[in-house]
Amino acid sequence: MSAPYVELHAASAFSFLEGAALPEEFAGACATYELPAMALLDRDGVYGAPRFHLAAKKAGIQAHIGAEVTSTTGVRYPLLAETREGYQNLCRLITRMKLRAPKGKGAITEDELAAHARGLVCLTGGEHGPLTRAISNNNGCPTLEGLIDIFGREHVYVELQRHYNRAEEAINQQAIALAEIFRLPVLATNGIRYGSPHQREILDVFTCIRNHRTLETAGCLLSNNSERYLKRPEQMLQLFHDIPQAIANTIELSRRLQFTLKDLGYQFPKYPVDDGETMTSFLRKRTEEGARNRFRPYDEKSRRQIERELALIEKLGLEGYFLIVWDIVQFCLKNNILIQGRGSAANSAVCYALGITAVDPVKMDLLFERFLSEERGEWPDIDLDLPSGDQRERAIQYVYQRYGALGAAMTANVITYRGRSAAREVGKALGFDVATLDRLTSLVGHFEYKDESDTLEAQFRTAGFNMREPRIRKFLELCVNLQDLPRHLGQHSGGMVICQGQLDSVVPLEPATMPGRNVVQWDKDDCADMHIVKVDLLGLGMMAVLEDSLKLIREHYGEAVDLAHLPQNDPASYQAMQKADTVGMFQIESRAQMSCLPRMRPEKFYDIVVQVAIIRPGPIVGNMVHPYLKRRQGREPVKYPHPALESVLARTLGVPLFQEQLLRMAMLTAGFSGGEAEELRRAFGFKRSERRMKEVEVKLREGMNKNGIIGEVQDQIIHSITSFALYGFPESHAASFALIAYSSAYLKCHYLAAFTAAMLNNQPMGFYSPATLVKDAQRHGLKVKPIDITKSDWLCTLEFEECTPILRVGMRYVKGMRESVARLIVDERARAPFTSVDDLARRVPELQKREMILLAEIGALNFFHPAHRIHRRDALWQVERASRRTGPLLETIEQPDGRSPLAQMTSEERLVADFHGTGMTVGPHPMAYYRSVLNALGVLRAVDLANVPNGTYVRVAGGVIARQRPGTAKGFVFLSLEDETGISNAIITPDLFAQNRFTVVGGKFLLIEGRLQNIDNVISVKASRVEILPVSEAAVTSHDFH
Amino acid sequence: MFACIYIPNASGDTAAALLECASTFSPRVENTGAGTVVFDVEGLERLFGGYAEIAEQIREQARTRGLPANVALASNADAAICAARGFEGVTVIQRGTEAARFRDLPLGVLNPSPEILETLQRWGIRTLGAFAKLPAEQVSERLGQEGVQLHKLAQGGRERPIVPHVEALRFVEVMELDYELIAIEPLTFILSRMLDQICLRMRSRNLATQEVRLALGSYVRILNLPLPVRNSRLMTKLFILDLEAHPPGIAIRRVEVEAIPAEPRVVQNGLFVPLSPEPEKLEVTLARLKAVVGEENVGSPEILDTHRPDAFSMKRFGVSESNRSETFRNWTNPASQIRNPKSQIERPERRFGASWRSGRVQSEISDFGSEMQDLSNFKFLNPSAGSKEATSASPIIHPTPAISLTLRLFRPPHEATVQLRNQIPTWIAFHGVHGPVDTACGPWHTSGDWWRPNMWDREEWDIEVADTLYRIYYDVHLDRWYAQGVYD
Repeated sequence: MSAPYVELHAASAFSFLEGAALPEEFAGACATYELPAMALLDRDGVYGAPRFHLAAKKAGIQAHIGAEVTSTTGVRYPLLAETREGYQNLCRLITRMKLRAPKGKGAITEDELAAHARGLVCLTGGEHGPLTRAISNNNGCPTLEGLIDIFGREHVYVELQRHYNRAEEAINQQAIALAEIFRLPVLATNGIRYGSPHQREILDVFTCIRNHRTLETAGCLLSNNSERYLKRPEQMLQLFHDIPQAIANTIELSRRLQFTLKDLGYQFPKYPVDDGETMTSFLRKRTEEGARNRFRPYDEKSRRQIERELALIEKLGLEGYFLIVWDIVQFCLKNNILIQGRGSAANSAVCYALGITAVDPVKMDLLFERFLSEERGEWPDIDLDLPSGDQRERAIQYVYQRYGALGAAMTANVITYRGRSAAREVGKALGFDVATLDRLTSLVGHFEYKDESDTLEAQFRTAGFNMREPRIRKFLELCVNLQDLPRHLGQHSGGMVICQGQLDSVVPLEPATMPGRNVVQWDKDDCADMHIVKVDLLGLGMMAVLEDSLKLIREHYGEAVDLAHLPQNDPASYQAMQKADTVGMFQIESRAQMSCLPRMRPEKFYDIVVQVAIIRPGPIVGNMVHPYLKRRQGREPVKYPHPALESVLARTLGVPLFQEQLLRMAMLTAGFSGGEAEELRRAFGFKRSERRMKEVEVKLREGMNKNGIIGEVQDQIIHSITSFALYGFPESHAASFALIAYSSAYLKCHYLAAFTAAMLNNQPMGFYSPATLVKDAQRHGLKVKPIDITKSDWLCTLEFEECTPILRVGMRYVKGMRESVARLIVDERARAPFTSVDDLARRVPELQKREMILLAEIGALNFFHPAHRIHRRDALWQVERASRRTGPLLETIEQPDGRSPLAQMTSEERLVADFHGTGMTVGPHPMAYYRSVLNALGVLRAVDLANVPNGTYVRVAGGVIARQRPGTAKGFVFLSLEDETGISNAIITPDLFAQNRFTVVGGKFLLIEGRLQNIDNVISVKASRVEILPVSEAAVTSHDFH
Repeated sequence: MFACIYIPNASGDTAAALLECASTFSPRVENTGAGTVVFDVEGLERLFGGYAEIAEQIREQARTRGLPANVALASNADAAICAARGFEGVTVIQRGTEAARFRDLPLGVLNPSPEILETLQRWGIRTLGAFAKLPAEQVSERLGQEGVQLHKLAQGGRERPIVPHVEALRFVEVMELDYELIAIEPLTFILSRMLDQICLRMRSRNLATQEVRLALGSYVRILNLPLPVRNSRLMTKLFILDLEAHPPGIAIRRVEVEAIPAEPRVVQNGLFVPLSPEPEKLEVTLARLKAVVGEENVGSPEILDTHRPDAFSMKRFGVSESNRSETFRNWTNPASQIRNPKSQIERPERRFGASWRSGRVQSEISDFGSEMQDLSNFKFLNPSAGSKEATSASPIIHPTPAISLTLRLFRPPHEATVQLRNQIPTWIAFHGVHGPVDTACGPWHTSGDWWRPNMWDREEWDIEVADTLYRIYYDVHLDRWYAQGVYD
């Protein structure tokens, strides 16, 4: 390629609302126009650099990296990294400005610029650059002198941009004159902000969003033409025909810019060890210690596996990484924080020995290459599950404290424009009224399954927009064009990157919105692409539940339960799973899991591993669920695609269910190495590319041909592998989750009160709402007491009544109640019991009238005098007086509670108040009040359905607790209805859903008629009619659209 | 006894009709609002018979006015209101039976504040009867004075005087002419007399007017004044000037003048406040100008915040008090007396010459380089920038001295015929000008308003034809060339 021009000043959409094209678009356009290189200079960051680097590598062009850095004077310095030192300086400079300012703000001083100037080339910039401002202020000479002082004469280029603008050209002429005087080279750029002219419209919309204006009111803030696109070299040549050296200098400067992200200089973190030790020896010692303790027996097979893994770890120089993760685990263990590794790390015997994971990979014959392989050239990814909330934060803060604020940071999460957000923002920019936008955005579907009517255009039409109107068409067009463009930078839920030395010289750091946290400017995929090692510290609600349960059991039952040594094969737990009585149990509580459990009938731990993995899109799409279940029930013989695969597929009855199995299949049938097999998985994985898939498939077929596996058998094996790779679970991951699932089942079956309290204290989490969890616990015999101001804490607690544990709902369930006030009430109550509403109001003056009313409405103020309980309206009557403060003279005179002239609430009123005030009721289920009416209508209870023969036409009714429309279910909707006896399931066909969309989506209580399907104790009603049941006004909640 | 007329879901414009209807029965009518009027009907029995007949008569009156009203009679005004709001049709409530009759009415008829309504609903109180049963003292403790009043209402009301509606003051003069007027001039005398009367009445009430409405039969003109005045001569003059500019075109038999009253202007001139034109005189001058050049051509041009070339709007011209005091502050502040010449250069786009002549507005404002290169071989000719002031401050550079040119816009722009070579204009003809283009500089490209039907997209050129500089442009959407203006 011998293109005469290189674009050296481009800002992508990663300049967040100041650019309208993705870095990949730039790289693609460069390839089309045969530009040999290009420089990306996003504003105050290198957010888009990894994506640009990779796309450029693919397109065969060189990606120069830089940034436009904002100064305290308001101008922006376009800086290009010439060397690695320059890049490191740039990262440090940006980090410095970002960390001391609120999120999204920050600026550098000229002194800081001077201190970090080495290895950087400074352009004088376009309209926001230092020279334009200086020339306008008649200050060009001192400014250029200043830049030369900072960067050196060889590192300053006088930038010229031509966008067919008079004022800009006037500046250019002055700049040229100045360049001659200072003997500086001139440089042509187009200061691009988008890839093609039509994207100027997106930039204008972004300008409006940034400035909180509409297109009509943005005025001169908008672009005055569409010239800031990536131009062809010949266009640039023509544009600068009078200053050819400005074009020639782009090539010269591009040649000088040697730095690319390939030369990032990232080093693995090192773990500090004592004198006389090396990281290798230290890791070997810790592994050996752990292995002796954990492998029982620590046999030759385990030893060999550990030795093999350690050899590879040492070869790849990953000792530091493993020790760092081990160190985090040690911290958690010492501080009683539950921690467990998940994902592919559980394939590693070293991880198991170090206590990072809880599954014995040797015993389970797990495939190490799924975790780490030499061929792959990627670093391992260890995910650690921690209790969500404070405990996880403690672990994160430990990492910060251990490696320093500039040595570790969270990975970013780039939030992009999706249908809803794009429609809202574009609508605002176009000046649509809020009501119209609300109508539109409420129609953007939530369901995972999208039918033909779920296109953005159809949603616009449904919202009542006239699609023939040009303004509406433009609205739609802009919404579509905005999709997937970055909106802002968020924080990844748990990914942390750690660096040897200073992380801020590898990638700029920013403060996260959460105090005490820093975040890097790249997301986790970018970090992986740049080979930056990462530890995921993920918050798992169930871990917090387990931890809280153990604490409650210790405190109230006086027992110490050790999750690592739970009784295996506990009959009660397995019976519950076999009956699909799994509300609240980790991973096996969803409707889909419940419909599978009675057929699966788990009897041992490995069955739970399969159960966790089988209800996944991979097995479902690959049609592997039914064959497995049939074989398990003995209704179909176990057979293998090829005899060679028997050893791999035997334990899953000839059906591949786990990712490891497909890797082993490739290894056995096509002679792939472990690393090659993992490469295959990635080729068919999330970032699949047609070319890579084809290449791997060809290789796979060649290998099979060599081994004599041909024809139909070959096709069948390839189909299994390809359809499965995308969504399958690794067996190790399933095993880790199965451990948690078993623990949750065990605790629920044996310590229901503690488990339920812990579940309620860690909401929101799981599949069901608190109301359903409470009702389920009550059906299992747990007594649940309502919120009582004289007894409840902020959290749900346990009390004992005749040696039986009962659950007391905590004040956290009073909607709108402040935690600080609830804690004040508890403290004050500890000093002396409250004697009346008046006493409460007087002693806790922070309690607002609104909160007192809430407490009175839900009955929490009924219990001041156990002997003379007042009713809710009595309390409301007192609250109204108590909340009117008397003067200081009468303040100390307490008015005793007494009967009010008000009538007691009816049961319906209490129900409505309970759901409105707490989202649940501890009293009878709403359906129970109407049972006699429902009996007259022939409506069966959920518990009765088990005794009804398959195919019977039935009526069921209940409060809707879950609505699902899974992507794999071809438009079917699954409803879970709850009544006082349990949960019934209904299936709505796509046609019925289309006819009754509002009823199905909006109805709180539904009556459903249809044929009962009762096969293998899996019970559901295939609906033929749906109607809303007007039983109660109570605002029951449903978990929808999972 | 009191009667109440209530229109459910009344809109705002029913109030006048309701008042009129009620005033046929009583001169003392209270406009309670929300479609409700109440008035005293004591003594009407002798005219209409019993209370039931009176109520029927009232409803009949309302019906003839197209008002679907509820009518209620009760011993006190509030009870009548509650009854009219709570019962459909005609209701007569005998003294002492109010509480019993109201027992089942919903709380809404009391028209309580949202807070009190919410509290009562929380208490499970749905009807007036339930509310009335609550102990008054305890209601007072909980709901305050408003609660007490509502509680009394629920129990049958209380005696209170009504607050009669008083008609707003109007300053209207009407004159029916014996003969038809065709010319404007004779109106001067008539108008002058009528406005004298109005101003006299306003003066006696210390009022002035900012809006005067003149109806000549069906022909109506409205005079909006920048400040409240009561100067009849001024108003007469303005009306006559306005009528000369907008003749009625019909014979005049009836003249009606109405002035909308306003608080008079209070002015205290300061010793150091510079004199500005008398608002009244300025108004007359502007009216004269409008009569000559048209209303849309008088005012202060204001540049719109857009890149669209030559976008401006006309703002009403006037001297506001704030401007005057600003001037006063500047004048008394010694620092501000020294005008910074650069401040005018920094934001030239904010300046817009206020003078105008012969349909051409002198405008912007382009700094245009004096050093013109021969551009016959290439498209881009670079105008140098910077004003004399800007460059003279630099100690080192002495770039080409720039001259400031003024562009005189053609309004509307002249369509032009342009010949191009290599996409550069080489020959032009428009509006009497034609010839080869000696030098061309451009193009300057602007486009915008892409979300509107009237988006624009154009390429401008500065060209030299026969020693004169012009600005021309090519409208991309219309595919036409125009001459936009000439540089002085």
